[in-house]
Formats: sequence, structure tokens, C-alpha cells
Amino acid sequence: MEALGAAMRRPTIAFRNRRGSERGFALVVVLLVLLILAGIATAALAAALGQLRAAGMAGKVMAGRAAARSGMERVLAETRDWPTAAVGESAVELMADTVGARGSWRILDLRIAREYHVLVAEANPGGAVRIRDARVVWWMESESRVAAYRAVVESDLAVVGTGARVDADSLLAARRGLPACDSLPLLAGALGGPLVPLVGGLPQPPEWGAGRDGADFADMRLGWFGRSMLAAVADHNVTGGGVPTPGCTGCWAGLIFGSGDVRLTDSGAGVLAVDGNLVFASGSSWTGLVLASGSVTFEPGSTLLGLIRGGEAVTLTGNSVVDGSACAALEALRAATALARPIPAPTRSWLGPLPPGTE
Amino acid sequence: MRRSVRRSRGFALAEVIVAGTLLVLVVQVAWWVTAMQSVVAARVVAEARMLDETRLIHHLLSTEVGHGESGEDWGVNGGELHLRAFRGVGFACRTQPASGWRVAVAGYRFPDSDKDSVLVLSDDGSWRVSALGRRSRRRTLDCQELDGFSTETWFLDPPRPRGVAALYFENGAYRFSDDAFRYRISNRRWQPLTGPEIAVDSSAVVATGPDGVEVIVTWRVLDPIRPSTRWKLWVRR
Repeated sequence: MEALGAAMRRPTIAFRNRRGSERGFALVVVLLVLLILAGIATAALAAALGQLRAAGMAGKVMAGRAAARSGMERVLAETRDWPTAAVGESAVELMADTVGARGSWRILDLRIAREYHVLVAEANPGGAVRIRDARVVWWMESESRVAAYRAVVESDLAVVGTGARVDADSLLAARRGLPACDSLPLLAGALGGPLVPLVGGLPQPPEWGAGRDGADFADMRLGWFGRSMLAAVADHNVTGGGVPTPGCTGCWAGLIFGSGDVRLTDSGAGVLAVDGNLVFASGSSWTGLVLASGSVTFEPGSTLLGLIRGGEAVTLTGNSVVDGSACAALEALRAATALARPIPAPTRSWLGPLPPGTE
Repeated sequence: MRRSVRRSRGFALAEVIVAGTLLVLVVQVAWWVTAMQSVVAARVVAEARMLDETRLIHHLLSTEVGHGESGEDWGVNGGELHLRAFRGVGFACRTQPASGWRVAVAGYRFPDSDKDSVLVLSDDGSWRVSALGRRSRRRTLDCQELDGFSTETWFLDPPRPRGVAALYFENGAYRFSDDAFRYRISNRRWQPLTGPEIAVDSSAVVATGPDGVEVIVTWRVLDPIRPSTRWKLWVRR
């Protein structure tokens, strides 16, 4: 019975053993499938992470580039002041702001010549990305503008009538309400000599005339401000001819732009730019800088204290006077804060991306 | 009891058949899944690489062309983009030596007098090209400090005594040829910038409008259903 009992139990044991073997096989199969699935998932994850990283980096580079460029545009659009950076000195920070949650940008001004600056935009949109871009701008310097004059009256033709006069003997001297400017080396070098001509011809581009700089500079320019830009930024506009009326007699009116035939009947001070013909009526007076694309006529009894440049004839009649004063022209330009703005260098201004440098 | 034993043995035989069949099925499925996984993984890697290299082409060309002037700095001719490949900038230093032009220089590589020219901005607002005759590099030169810049003296031909800033460049060209996107590194040598999976017959660099460049990149893909992937990149519009 024992043997029969054992014999009867054996198949059951064998059956159980086989069942145990099946369990192991299933486990191997399941592990194999899991391994394959894990392999697929790992490969997909690695590829996705790689792409995410690459796309994230590309996005940061684009964000940095956009921040640098927009910062540059903001500086050009919002800066209304004379430059503080000195030629050859360290760069000066003009503007800075944040970008995104953790990013930042700033614009540095490196002055490389009296009127040329390099704006360096640095953007750090977060992470290790650092973008730098550079742009050359022209930023007017009053002293350089005045020092470009070679005569009190510069024009295509100058006619000084009997009784009228042009003076050039106190160009850098102090006048009533005007400080002397003979201590400025550039002005002293250009206009401090004993024999500054009373009248002279028009200078070559880029001081006057278009050259290859475009039609906007053809008849009138003040450095790299062309006719349309002067009209756009002027503090006062006299369109279609008329009479410029500065805010107050004798005070600096900034930049006054007139188009058409303009007749000055009052007194004023500042930078007077006329795209057309200009007449100084009897009894009128102006202190500062005068630019005109057409002819300029001084009627008897009118006076100008400053410098003048006319595209056509400049005629002085009767007892009119042009009292040459570089200091008056200088103060007029300094007071014309509408011109105190950086503008992109002509033709090409972007210098391209710079290497990131070090933090 | 005896019947029960017999039944167990019979069940085991059937079970072996079923198990064998299942094993074959599982192995087949596993084999198929493995093969598909291999294909998918290879495809994912290949597509990722294509994306990277497409991004590279876009970045390269938009950087190279983005700051240049059409016609003057770059132009498309016969499917090749010829350009002044700007490599760095120089700013005039405050003090200048008796001979040469002292500049603060920064760029993606140092200037090379053998192959570089210099586009100089003078204080009259004009940009003019000079050859970079030779250059010397000294740390002690007096120049304004800007992070990442070094000071050099350049000898230009012709000299530009009124220069205030400069860009140095080499004459370069990009094109699709021999299954890759390539940059010309010498008169006869074109360096591949991508892997050799580009269908050059269907890829092109095209000038659009007066100031635009488009690039069409077609990648060959080992997929019978979709044998190629095509990208259109607006480098400049």
C-alpha cells in the first residue's frame, strides 16, 4: 500500500514540477518583453531628451539674440542724451533689463571715435547661454560739428552788400550770455587761428551734400541727420513757409525745422534748419546755427550771432550783420537735445555676433 | 486513480505542444518587436540627427547672411551661396602707432593675413575693403578694454588712416554637393558640414526677392512609405 500510495502520488509531484517550470518560463518571457519595452522606451527617452536639450538651447540662443537686438532697438529709440563715454575709455552701460524669468540683457557703449560708438548688446537668457552682438552708431558731438566749419558763412555764393558786414574776430570769445569756448581743443585747433575766412564754399560730403549717401542728404544735412530726419525730430516745425516762433526771445529753442520759404521776423536762438529759402526780416535776430538748402537773405538791420551754411546764395543787405561765433553755434547744438540720440551708422551698422567672452 | 495519472500525462503532452506553439509565437513577436524597435530607434536617432543638422544649416546661413548686404556681401550663383564670411571685428584704439593700425579684436577665430580681407568703416561713414597685409599681436598695446578683446596692429593694403571700425572676412561659399551640405575651404576643397544623407538633387539654396535666401534641404530616409524628409528654411526674408 505504501508503494501504491507513492506511485499514486508521483504523477502529482511531476505535474507540480512541470507547473513550476512553466512559471519560470513565463517569467523569462515577461522579463524579455519588459527588456525590449524598456529598450524602446530608453531609446525614445534619450532621443527626446536630446532633442529637448537641443531645442531648448536653440530657443535660448534665439531668445538671447532677440533680447540683444530688441535692447539695441530700445537704446536707439529711447536714448535722448549726449554720450558720456570717452574715446578710448572703458565701455559705459546705457541700458539694462531682464528677459524671461531669470535672464537679463544690457547695452554697453564703447566710444571709438568722437562721433562713432560701438554698442555692444549682451544678453543672458538663462542657463549658460550668452549672446553678444555689436552695432556701430553715429552719435553727434556738438564740438565736432562746429569744428567742421571753415568759415563764418559757408555757401555756394556769398554776397556782402555795402554797409553789411561779417565778423570773424571773436569766434571763440565769450559774448553776452555765452561762455567762451576757446578752451575746447578741437575748436581751438579748427577755428582758433588768426585768419578764419569770413566766407567760404560748401564742404564736401559727409559735411554737406549727398555724395553717395542718398538723396535725403542732397540739399541739407547735419552730420548724418538728413532732411527727413531733421524734420522728424525737430522741436518746432514750420511747414509750408511761415514765421518760426521760438518759445521765448533769446532762449534756446532747440531744433527748429522749416520747409518752404521761411521768413524770420522775431528774435530767437537755437538750431534753425530750413529746407527752402530763408529771409531774416529787418529787425530780426538769431543766435546759434543756421542751415538752409536754398538762399538766405539778410534784410537791413537783421543780425545773426553764430555760424551759417546755405546751399545757394547768402546775401547780406543794408546794415545787416553776421557776427561769427562758434560758441553760439556750439551752445545751440548742445541745447538741441532732439539731436542727442545715437543713430545707426550709414550703409551698414551691424557688426555681427561677437564671441561670448567671459562672465 | 490510474485514469487520473494518464490524464495528467496527456495534458502534459498537449501542454508541451501549446507551450511550444506559444513559445514560437512569443519568439516571433519578440523578434518582430526587437526588429521594429531597432528600426524605430535607428529612425529616431537619424531624425534627431537630421533635425540637428537642419538647425545647424539654418543657424550657419542665417548668421552668415543675416548681417550682410545682398549683392555686396553675398549672392546666390549656380546653386552656390558666395559670401564674405565675416569672422570677427576690430575697433580702432585711442592711440595709434606711427605705422599700422592698432585695433581691439574679437572674433570666432583670429584674423589670418593669408586669406582674410578687412572691411573698414572710416569716419566719413564709408566702408572700404583692404587686404590684411600682416598683423602683429602684443598684450602691452594701449587700447580700450572690452571683455574678450585682444589688441593687435594691422597693416592694411591700402591703409585706412581714418578707420574707426572693421570687419575681417574670408571669401567663402556654401552649397549642396556629394550628399552633404558643404563649405568651401579652398579653391578645390569643400568641407562637409553634415552627414552624407542629403538628396542634393532635391536640395537647393535659392535667392528670393531682392534680399532673401531660402534653403530647401531634403534628407534621404530609409523608409519605403516616406523616402525623404524635406525642410524649407527661410534664412533671410
